[in-house]
Amino acid sequence: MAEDPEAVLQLPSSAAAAGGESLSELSPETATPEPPSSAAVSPGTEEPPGDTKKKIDILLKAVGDTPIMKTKKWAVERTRTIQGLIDFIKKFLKLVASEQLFIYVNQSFAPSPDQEVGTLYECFGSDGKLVLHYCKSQAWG
Amino acid sequence: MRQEDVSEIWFEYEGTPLKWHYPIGLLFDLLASSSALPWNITVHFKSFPEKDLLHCPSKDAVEAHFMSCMKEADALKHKSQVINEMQKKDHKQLWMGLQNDRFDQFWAINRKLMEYPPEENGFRYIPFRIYQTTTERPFIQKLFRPVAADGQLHTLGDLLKEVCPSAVTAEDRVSLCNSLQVLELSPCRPSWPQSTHRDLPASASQVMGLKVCATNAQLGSLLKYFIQFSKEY
Repeated sequence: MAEDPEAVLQLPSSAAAAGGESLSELSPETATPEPPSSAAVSPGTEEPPGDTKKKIDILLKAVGDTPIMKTKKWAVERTRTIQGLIDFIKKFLKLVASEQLFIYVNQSFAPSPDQEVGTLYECFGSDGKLVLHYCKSQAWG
Repeated sequence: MRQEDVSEIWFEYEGTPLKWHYPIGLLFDLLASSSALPWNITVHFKSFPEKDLLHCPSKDAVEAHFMSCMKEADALKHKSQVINEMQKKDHKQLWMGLQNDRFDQFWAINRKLMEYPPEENGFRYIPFRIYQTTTERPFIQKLFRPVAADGQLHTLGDLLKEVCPSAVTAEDRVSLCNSLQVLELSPCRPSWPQSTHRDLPASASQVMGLKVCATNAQLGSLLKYFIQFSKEY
């Protein structure tokens, strides 16, 4: 998968804005999270335990005759929802708003649109990434 | 009410829109556990709260959500092997059994989803979701094995200590009612009793959902208990 170009998934942050999270650009994993000069600790950010990395890698794969995305690997914030991802893919593929798009985990089940990708990553991710299939029609009942 | 005033239906309780894709017992426990039954909720026909609720265009959407939950659970329990081996009509029977309150019909199929090889002491992972009233965040769901590395069966307390330490007190009982509101062992509810024995160390809420439970209850048996008895209340 080394040939997959990595990109930052910039989604409108509607829900996350209230959470007081710092929505920084994607940084390489080795980057220091805070500038050393800043004395203040970022306030009110209650991170759930274990969420050491803010962003996770997802791999998006098209099913059937659904158009593929040139960029397959994306770094996404854990708190992004499946709906957020669906909206993003639809925009990326220039689908009409009325067109449906389904996202599947493990080529088996369609997580509920309000489910967060971070939770799915923890339960169904492998090799440091979460593989999701997307499709314009229902692929797996 | 005039016809043009009616658009999509939705429900609300004390200002909170009710998610149709959560079990009603879970909603009750989360939002109204101290109120009297029957639970009074408000029905709306307009001003659908887009950002709080998913649309429910038809009964098919409910069925699809239910089946997806079953599949997700089986992905954790058996790497999806059991649910994938089933036929379309078996899936349909699960749904029809649920829909028509036919627990025998439901369990004839669900039994297979609850089995594991005798040489293993349980499922690969325990499917669970923990919902909390104390946070705006959605449920907690993580990988958790029913058996520890040393062969000991994991208990509910072990699970909570691991994934939700704030909920565990010094006592060996945890009041899920106060601290967590609901521990939902997610995928397999709702379901019904196969038999009528009740010998497991847990009690359930009035509607559905588990409220108070000894933390030394073994997860495997708890799952069974919960699945088999939730409908009685």
